[in-house]
This record gives sequence, structure tokens and C-alpha cells, in this order.
Amino acid sequence: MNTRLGYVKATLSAFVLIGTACAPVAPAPVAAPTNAATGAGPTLVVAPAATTADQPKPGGRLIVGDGSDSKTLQPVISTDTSSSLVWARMYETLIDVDPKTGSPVPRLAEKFEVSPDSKTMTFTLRDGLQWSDGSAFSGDDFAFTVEAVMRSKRTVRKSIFQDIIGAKDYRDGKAESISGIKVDGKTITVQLETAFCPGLINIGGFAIIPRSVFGKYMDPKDASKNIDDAAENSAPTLAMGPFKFKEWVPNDHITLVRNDKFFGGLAYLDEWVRRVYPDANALAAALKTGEIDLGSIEAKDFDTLRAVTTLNVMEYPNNGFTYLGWNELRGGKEFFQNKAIRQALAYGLNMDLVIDKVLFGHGQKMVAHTPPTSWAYDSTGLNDYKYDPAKAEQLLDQAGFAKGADGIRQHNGQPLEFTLITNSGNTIRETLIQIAAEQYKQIGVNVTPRTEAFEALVERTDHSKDPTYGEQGGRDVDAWVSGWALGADPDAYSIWHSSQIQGGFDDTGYKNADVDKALQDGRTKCAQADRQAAYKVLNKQLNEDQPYNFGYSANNLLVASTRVQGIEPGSYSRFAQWNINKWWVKP
Amino acid sequence: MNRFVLRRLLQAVPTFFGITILTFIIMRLSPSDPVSLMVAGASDISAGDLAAIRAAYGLDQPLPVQYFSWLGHVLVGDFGQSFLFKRPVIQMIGAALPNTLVLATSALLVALAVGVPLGVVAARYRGTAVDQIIRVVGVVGHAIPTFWFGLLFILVLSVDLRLFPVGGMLTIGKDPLDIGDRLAHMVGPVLALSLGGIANYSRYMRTEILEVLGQDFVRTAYAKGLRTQRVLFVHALRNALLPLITALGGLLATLVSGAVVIEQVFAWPGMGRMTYEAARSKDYPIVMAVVVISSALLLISYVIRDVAYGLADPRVRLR
Repeated sequence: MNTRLGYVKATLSAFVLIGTACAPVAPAPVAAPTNAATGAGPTLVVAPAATTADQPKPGGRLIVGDGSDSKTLQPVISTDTSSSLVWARMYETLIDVDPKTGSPVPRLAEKFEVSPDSKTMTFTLRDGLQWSDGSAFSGDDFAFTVEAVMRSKRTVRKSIFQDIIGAKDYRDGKAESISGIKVDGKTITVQLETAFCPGLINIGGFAIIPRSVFGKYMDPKDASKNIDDAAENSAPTLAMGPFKFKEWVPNDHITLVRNDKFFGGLAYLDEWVRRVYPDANALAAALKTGEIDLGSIEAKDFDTLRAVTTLNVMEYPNNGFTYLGWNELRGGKEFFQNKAIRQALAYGLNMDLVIDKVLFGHGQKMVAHTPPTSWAYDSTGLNDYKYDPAKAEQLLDQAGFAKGADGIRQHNGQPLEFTLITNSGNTIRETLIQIAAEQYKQIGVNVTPRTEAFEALVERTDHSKDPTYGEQGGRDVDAWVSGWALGADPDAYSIWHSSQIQGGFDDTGYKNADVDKALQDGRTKCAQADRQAAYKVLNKQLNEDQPYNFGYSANNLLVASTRVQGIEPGSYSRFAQWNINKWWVKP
Repeated sequence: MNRFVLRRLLQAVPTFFGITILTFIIMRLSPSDPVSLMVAGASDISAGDLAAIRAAYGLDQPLPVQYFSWLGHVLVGDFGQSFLFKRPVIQMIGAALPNTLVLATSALLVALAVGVPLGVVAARYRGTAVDQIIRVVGVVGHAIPTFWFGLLFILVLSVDLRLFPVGGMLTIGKDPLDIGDRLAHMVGPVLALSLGGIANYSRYMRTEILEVLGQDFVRTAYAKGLRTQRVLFVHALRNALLPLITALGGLLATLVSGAVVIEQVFAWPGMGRMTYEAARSKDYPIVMAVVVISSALLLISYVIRDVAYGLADPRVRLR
């Protein structure tokens, strides 16, 4: 063989081989963040049939399937639900929330109250609380947890605690402890600088870590020391929850074992294991074969999995929603500032059809911010914006947008057209924008659907600037589809308060004085009845103004093996884990 | 020879730096940042907290500052901490790399063990039905999307027939040293991963063998009275393997980078998936570390390949 030709051939072959080996393959669809909240409607839990004859038996293992690995087992620096799914089994909180309504309920604290001026919270601990090694749990662990958050450089939770008196001084190294937290025996008192109602659930509901383990990473005098690099962040040595840590095989599984010192009744399960299945189809397959006992599925798999006799499929409302956002600070699209236009865009989109086609019926329409399952929800006076294209057209006519010869409306030369963007790879959202474009066309609105990478959309809604209104906080987008995963507390300040247009989450540029006041009231007048009244005002106004088309909330679809007993799903508890210590498996 | 190797290694250094700079720029200039993506969709995070974290990670520094800071750490062996996982990158790569190597080398061995003989057989029986079948298998194997094949494997062999597990490396509850269990978990991913290799190597070998069979020395061998089998497997194959060695040289790096799709579908905790998720979440430390390792291996393997080729074929003179 001629050497030079051979060399050329060899090199070419090498390239061919490498080229084919490196051929770009379509990445498997990553499960998009399904931020769905359930809209109005009855609770639709399909709970497993209660087998009254069986008694709970200790023993056995539960294997839970999730779409990605935990990032950390340290509540202070954790930001995602794949992490909290695991660490919340090991670390406990002063109070919890009712899984069905989100109302605060006792946990480590058997009593809790908020002072009339809403600035002081008092928690009374139960007797005899112990960490998994038998050492006593005390309010000091709670104080330590807050200290750890205030000095951490990786946490996203400082805003929860920074209103506690002395917290900022501690953070800046000006104090050696947080003066606003007082521990006296079983009583913990937390004093805030200003009234802050979400504080009860956010502060009282924060997972507590032990000073005995993490204290050595901190130094009261040195504000630069923190727990961010502690080895126990990935391998916890102590637990308060029903389970304690055994092992973590990265990206594969985490194993927890029963904690014999758990205060709330020892778990029946010997082991709790969480496995990772990045591909949703593989996860559904694993449920079918029994490789995992519990997992969440997509709407498209509901029917196939319900037909499997060894599985129970539970459907229940979700605390979040997917919406269409209208940018009111957009050059050339000032029509979004007109309430009548936005209302027309609500009447003109058949959301029930969307839910039917896109979620196969497993979702509920939303017309305001707070999901119906929340204790803060009040449906009185809310317009359900039933699909009514005639009414939509009437509103658009009255707004002065007459139909042109091409069927598209326009007013003073400004056509009623815009681009509707969502993130690619999410087939549900991609279908939604197609349906929206078709339906809005029928009422004379010209919508161009577009997709872009998730990262690009996040960048757009977070940081971009509209050429005309950028200085006021206008984003570089006409309209988009995104979603919110809501917290346990109904506070919606970061999304709807006018101060949050610049640098906050009020991406639409929406501003309303009544809404601002209702949000403030909801944050400062903390009696539950007062907060309910405030959120009633908030939702009524948002419902009328329609700064979003509030879209839909995709129901949670939780699947479990029929062997697993004791499951009681609720919107405020991911994977129904709130009573995991009461679950047992039939042998 | 030594001067050759030294010169090649030195030539590789600027290439290496170029690769890291390019990757760094691409990652930083593409939209969004790790902190926003970490919390996207959550309504209860404050912008002030996010800004503080960005500062703590050094994300608000000018790009050249960030690059040289990273480079300085890498040169002393510190690959930094993952933004997402808040653990040393080395630890994470150390956990994922063995898994990927196991999968990749197994797939390579299977591809060679099946592909090379198929190629030889196809060349031997060129023009016949056997040859046609093997060539079609080759084309199909190359055209099948691995994602689709992987899911099909799971649906038919794991779910319907319950012959193999769905995903992961082992069955929870079984002894981690249970080889049988481990092997059962490997069948699906190795098969899916080797498909393309089988197709490539069989087609490749067929072409090379045919090429070699047309050479003078083969006619001499036949003239000497040697059996076809001996001519084929002793004389022709050896010569046809040379280019294959060349091709294998570049594979070292791809072995390390892992097969993202396969690892995703079969829930195999390897480098490909880790790198893909890191890239999606803009977890720069992981992506940069993987790029460094992969490019270093690639460049080194090219040098090895050139040397090996020179050694294997005495006619090649290394300058």
C-alpha cells in the first residue's frame, strides 16, 4: 500500500470514525419543569383502595424514582426539589403545612403563635426530642440553622431570615449571635424588625440542622466561615426525621434507613431509596416492572399506567401553574397595557380544549394567582372567562381595534400582532402556543409562535431590556409561556408588586395600587382571616386585569405500587411524603 | 522517535489552550447563568440573594479575569467546585468516569468482536447474499437512532419480556458485587452503544480487506498455495488492521466523554449525562474540567496513534 495514500486514508478513516462516534444525537427530552397549579375543581385524589383487613407491618423497602439526582443534602444551600425530596426525610421543621390546604400545623413545635403586631413568633417544642444519635434536640439547633444561613455564601434563603432582629449584624460579622432569636428551655422566640406574615411558614418551616455536627465549621467571631463546604452536606451524620443517611452513589441512588429516635412514630419501612431515571419513558417503564415503587408520570402515560393492575395512579391538584405572560412595557405592543385587550385574550383562548388536548384532561383552568387548594383561595366574584370568542371580538372592537381586510385587527396603524415564545423541548408548551396562535387568529389577533432554548427564555424574562422601555424594567419579549412553582405561603409579592418590575419577578410590568396594597396587607396583617381578605382582593383584581392569561395547572400524577400502603397525597407535599413514617409495604 | 513525540506534545499545548478558551467563551456567552437556572420557576427567591451568590461564585467578574482565575487553579490541579452540586469536580468526575469507562470499553470490545469478523466475512463472500445482508445490517445499525433503540429495548425486553432491568447499574438490595446482576444491567446500554461501532467496523473492515486482497502479495500467497482462510486471517487481516488502529486512536477521548443519550435512557450514571446536565445548567466547572480531560486525552491519543502507526508499519518514517 502506498504510504502516503495510506496515511491519507488512515487520517480520513480516523476522522470518519471519530465523526460518526461524535455524531450529534438528539438529546433525550429532559423533563421540563412542570410548574402547574391546579385551578378550580373538586379534589380529584384517586387514593388506593383502603384495605381494612391489613395491619401495618414493619419491614421492607420503598424505592422512589425521580428525574434527576439530588445536588446536595444540606437544606441551607439546597435549591431544587430533587434535593429536598431526600433531605426532607432526614431533617425536620418546627412547623409543617397541611398537605391539602397549606395551613401551618405543628411539627417539632407542639404549639406556635404569632403576636398581634405580627412581629414576634413563639414556638413551644415537644418534650423529649432527640437527634438520631440520642443527643438532645433543642431550640439552639434552630438558632444555629439561622446563623448558618446568614453566613452561607451559597444559600438562596437569606431573604427568609434577614428581617429577624440582629440577623444582618450577624451576617456582617458585627455580632456573635442573632439577638432576635431567644431560646428558653422549650420556648423559642423569634422577633422580626417588621411584621412579615410569610415568616411563620418560611421561618418555622425551615429544616433544622444540628449544631453538634455543623458548628465546627462556623466561628461566631469570623463571618467568613460557613458550612458551605462541610462534608456532612453530602453525607449527613445526624437526622431528626423518620430516616437517616446510609449511602449516596452519585447520579444513581441514595439509601436512607429508619431513624429509631424519630419523634413522630417510628417508620415501618426499613429502607427508603431514591433512584434516578432521567428519561420519563424509562421511569414509567421502571414503574411497570416494579423496579421502583413510587414515581411521577406525565399526562400522556396516565391511561397506560392506570391499566396496569399492580399500580395505583393518584391524581391531585398542583401548587403552581403555567401561564401566558403579556409584556406591558414593550415598544410597539402598547396594546398590552389595555385591560380590554388582555381580557379578550382570556375569552379568546379555549383553555379547556388546551387541557384536553395537551394534558389529556389532567389539569384545571386558572383565572387568578392563588390555586383553589390553598387556604387563601376565595372564588367569590371571580370571572371564569369561559371561552367566548364573540365576547372577545366585541371587546377588541370596543377597544378600537377593527378587523382589516386580511382579518387582522389594527388601531391607528398598530396591528394587533405579537410573538409568543416558549421553551423548546417541552411538547406541552409547544402545542399550547400552536393552539393559541390558531385560536387568536380567529378573533383577528396575529400571533407568531416561537420556541427557544430554556436558558435563553430564562435570560429573556430575567435580564433582558426592551429597546424602548428597558429603563423602566421592560423585558425584551412580546409574550411568553412559562410557569411558576409556588411556595407554601400564599405571598405573591415578588411576582405582582410594582417594586418588583426592576430586578424582581414582575416580568409583565404590571402595576396596580390596589394589588400593591393587598400584597402589603397580606404580608403584614397576619391573622389568618386578615390574610384571607387581602388575598381575596389580590385575586379579584388580578382576575379582572388579566396581566397573565393564567392558563392552567397540570395535576400531579403520582404512581405507586399496589404493595405500598398509607399514601395520602396532597398538593403541599411532594410525592405525598408528609406521612412517610406511616407507610408500609405489603410483603 | 523521542524528538518526534516531544515535538508533537509541544504542538498540542497551544491547541489545548485554544480549546479551553473557545469552550469557556461559548459557555459564558450563551444565554443565562447557573444561578438563574438553579432557581428558575421558583417564585419565593429574592433577587438580592441571587446577586450575592453570583458575586460569591465570581460570575460578575470580567470574562478574562474569570478565565485566568480558572486556569490558575487548574494548573495546580484544582478543578474547582461544581456550582450545582457544591462538591469538588474531581470527586464527581471520579465517581462518573469508571462507570463510563466500563460501558465504553465493553461496547468497544463488543463492536470489535462482532464488527471485525462480520467485515471479514462480508469481504470473503463479496457479492453474495451474505455480503448483502451484512452490509444492510451495517447501514441499519448506523442509521438507527440510539435513543429510539434504547427505548425499544426497554419496552420490549425489560417491560414486556422482563428479561432485563430497566435502568441503573445494579438492583437495589442485591449485593453490589453480584456480577450477574451487574452484567444484566449492562446488556441494554452496551448493545445500544455498540450498534454504531458494529456497523462502522464491519463496513470498514470489508473495504479494507477488499483493498488488501487486491494487493500483489496476496496473489503471491495464493500462488504459493495457501488456503483462503489463512490468506484472509493471517495476511490480509493484519494489513487491514493498521488503519483500524489509526481510527481507534481518537476513540480514547470519546470513550471518556461518554454517550449522553444512552446514559440518559438507561439511567447509567456516567460522564456523558453528567456533562450534558452540567452544560444545560451552565455548571462551568464541570464542563470545563471534562473539556480539559477529554482534549488532553484526545491530543495524547493522537500522538500515541501516530507512534503506533509508525511502529506497526515499518514503511512509515516518522519525521
